Amino acid sequence: MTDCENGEIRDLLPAWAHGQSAAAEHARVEEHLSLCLSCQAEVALLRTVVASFDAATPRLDMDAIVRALPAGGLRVVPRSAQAPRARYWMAAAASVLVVGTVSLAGLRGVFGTTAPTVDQFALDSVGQEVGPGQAAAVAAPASTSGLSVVGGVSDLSNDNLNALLVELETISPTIDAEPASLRRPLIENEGAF
Amino acid sequence: MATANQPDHEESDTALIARWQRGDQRAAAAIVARHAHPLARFAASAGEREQLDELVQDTFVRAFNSLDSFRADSSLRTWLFTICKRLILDRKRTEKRRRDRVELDESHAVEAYDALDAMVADETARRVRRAVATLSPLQREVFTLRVNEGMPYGEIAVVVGSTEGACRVHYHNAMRTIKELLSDD
Repeated sequence: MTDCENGEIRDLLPAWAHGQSAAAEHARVEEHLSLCLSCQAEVALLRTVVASFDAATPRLDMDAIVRALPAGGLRVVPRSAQAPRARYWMAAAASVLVVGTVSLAGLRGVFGTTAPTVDQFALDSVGQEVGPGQAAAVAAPASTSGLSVVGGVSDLSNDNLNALLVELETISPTIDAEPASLRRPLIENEGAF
Repeated sequence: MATANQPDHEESDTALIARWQRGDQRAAAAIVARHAHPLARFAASAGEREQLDELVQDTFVRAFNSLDSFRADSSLRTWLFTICKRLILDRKRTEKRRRDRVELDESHAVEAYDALDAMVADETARRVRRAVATLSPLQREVFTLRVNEGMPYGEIAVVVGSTEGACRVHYHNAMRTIKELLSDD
């Protein structure tokens, strides 16, 4: 017998035979089968194939298979599920570290145990040491006024601000003494020439 | 998708997996009851004769041990058949190394089915299995998954590692070959 020319229906026959076709397709196949002897023969062949392999397949011990399976409630939590909690604890630890460091630095500032020296202040922006005279000039306002600018200027009261302005006006805009290196002649025995 | 013979109240594999993950071992039993025999039938059609229980059990154990990696975008059935196929291939490789002989080819498959036929009296079934045994391994896998399980081509393609279109061609070629062989007998 020649094959049916309706390839679409023939493609649906195995699923139909297993009852796995969608309801609409199921109705179409049944309608076609009622008219097509070739497809009826193919369905009969499909059922024979299934029956022949069923007969050749031994029965299985289902209970033994189930007993061999792991218990569902004892699953190990995957790493991906643990990651968010680990990240939370790491963030918390980092926060504690930062807060602790800042607090310690604040306490040291209050108790003045490691207050910077004048010479340390007398470093320019690129780390080059300036002369001792300049250092003294830089240190002069604080040492002469007796004001301590530990906090910001905004922390000062109006009286203290006024006192600071008075002190600043008394400071000479020029450096009193030249650095020693500039006072030294470029040529030591200039008079010999 | 609702199918004609599959009632909507039948619990889906996904729901059963969720129940098992909550500790309900009866859900595992339901999954095994649903898929064990089709897996054994697939293995038998692929030429596996010995220790089918062990093969099917290994398939389920492997699947359940890694259900966390199971993606619901493919069906559990497809996944189980894919694992089963890999185990069958492993067995064949092991057997090949152990016995230092060529892998089961088509002529060997026919002999294997002949051996089974001694236990099965049905003449029609014998002829059908002989015809299926003459197919190439890939054709046989596609044909049996399509006919024995009613699997759509998309799922078959995943299991056998091919394309949907190629599986469709393999199926129709296999069907034509079998019809010709049976009409010749």
